[in-house]
Amino acid sequence: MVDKNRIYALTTRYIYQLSHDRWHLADMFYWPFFDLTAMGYMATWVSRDAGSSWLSSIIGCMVLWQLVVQTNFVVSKNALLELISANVLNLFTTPIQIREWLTACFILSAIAGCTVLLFCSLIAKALFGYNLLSLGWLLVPVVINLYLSGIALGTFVTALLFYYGIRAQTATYILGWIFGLIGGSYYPADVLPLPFWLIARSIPLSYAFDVVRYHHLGTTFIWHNLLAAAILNTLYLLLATSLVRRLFSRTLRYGLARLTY
Amino acid sequence: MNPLKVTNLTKTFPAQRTFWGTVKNPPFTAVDNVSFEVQEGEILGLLGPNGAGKTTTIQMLLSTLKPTSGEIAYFGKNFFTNRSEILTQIGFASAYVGLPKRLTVRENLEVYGRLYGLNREQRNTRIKKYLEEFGVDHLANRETGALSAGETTRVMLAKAFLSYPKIVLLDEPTAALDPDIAQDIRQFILDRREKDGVSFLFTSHNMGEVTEVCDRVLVLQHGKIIADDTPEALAAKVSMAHLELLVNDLEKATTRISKRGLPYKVHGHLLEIEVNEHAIAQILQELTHAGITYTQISIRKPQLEDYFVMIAKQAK
Repeated sequence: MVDKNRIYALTTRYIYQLSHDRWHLADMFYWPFFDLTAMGYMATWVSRDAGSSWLSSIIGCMVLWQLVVQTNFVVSKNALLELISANVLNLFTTPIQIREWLTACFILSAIAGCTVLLFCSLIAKALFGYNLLSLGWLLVPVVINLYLSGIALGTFVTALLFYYGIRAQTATYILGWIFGLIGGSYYPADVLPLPFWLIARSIPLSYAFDVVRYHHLGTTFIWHNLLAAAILNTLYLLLATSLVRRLFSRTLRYGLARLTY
Repeated sequence: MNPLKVTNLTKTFPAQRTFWGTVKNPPFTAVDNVSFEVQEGEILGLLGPNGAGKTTTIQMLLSTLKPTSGEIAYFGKNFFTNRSEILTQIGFASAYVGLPKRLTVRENLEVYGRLYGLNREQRNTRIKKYLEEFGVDHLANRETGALSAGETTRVMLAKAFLSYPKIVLLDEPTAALDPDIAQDIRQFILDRREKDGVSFLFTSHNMGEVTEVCDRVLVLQHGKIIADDTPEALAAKVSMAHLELLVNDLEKATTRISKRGLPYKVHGHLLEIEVNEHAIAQILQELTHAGITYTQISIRKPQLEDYFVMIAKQAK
């Protein structure tokens, strides 16, 4: 059983952190703004002769990609924060369990993801005239799928951090961008060479972003893409959470103290 | 029901291998078949040279390290099957772990208070009480990263007592403190024992502190318990005392002492002789007969520190 008070305690711990650390706010606003603006203007230029539906499909994916980046980053960054401050030992001498810690991170991810999504949709509307709500009811399953992808990826990085310690901190920053390259956010998976296409097709992100493109470009095949994304997301999230538990348990064979050096 | 009972606790760290599978470090037994109990209201010291297994033992007692075998029971309940429930009743502070640096002292204690299931009123009351008790109430709104080592230690101690624990594990709690503050902390520990019946497991490298605070001391060496007794009884196992003399003829005195094969040190005009307590009178008599006079004399009886030095030498 998870304890909601402990989950709330951990949630407040990271909210306190954010309120004191304005540089972390840059992660939430500066990078999404930079990414969206640069890609948005490039898309405006490239799709000048192709029509507004192409621009919408690119901007729509860019806005939603920020949700994945943010939700992934919030989960993995929280694990990294505990390691860097050497608080991980203190934390796990209290009654908390790893699943409560993960739940708190997922809640924070949802809050941060929604904030960034709102921010980016406002930027997209102001700079490119793109309305995220033009996705209609599809927005709900797409957002849920992308949120699940983000937290699954963040959970996977957390598993590495809880096993390899601070040494694995690079994974916190780079894994998300690797998925940006092969996840179908910037361009459809179809343009990738066969080996990368195969990898992309095993990643739920590529199906979710295809849904956005299909909607804006007026093509079909939406339902099975959503279904594929949902199935893969569920599978990967289960695998990632089980990996965290497994690697955390393995770490306990050597002691949590070793994670902080 | 004893607050803590440890039975045949063993920790063997698995072999560490390189990426290619070759053995980098062979398996290593840090704690070897250790059994002990902590009684209600008892302050038990855990002593031993570096690498003796103290920290490994404490980590296992906090569930941050998995034992290879053995049992740990708090209040008669198995620790591994009742972890969350038991940890609400255990306090922990160490000079070697940190708190989130960007959070203020109060925020950190708020978070830990919530983790221990305290309601708002309990948190407010206890945070105020312990910050005052440890003399850091004026730092409540300061970021923890801006505190000195001693101030951080006191905040950690406040954290350790927030949940009104029945047993507290303290890993060198006074390591970074000024002597006067360390004395206050020791008094606080003794008060908690007297007033609330709190039990303590206590490690320290300050032998005077261990002697002052602990009812009983477990001595670990190479992962095994080699002694389990009161600090005074352990000190009594060392028969060598230190005799300090200010002598008129240092050269003659050292020659005489050397002939007897006794270890000695010279500090200026002061001669320090390591000698069996029972032989002190005889030594003084011999020196007098040899025409050596002394104008100052002091005898330091064996202390826990001497015992510690003795076993540390044995360990090497």
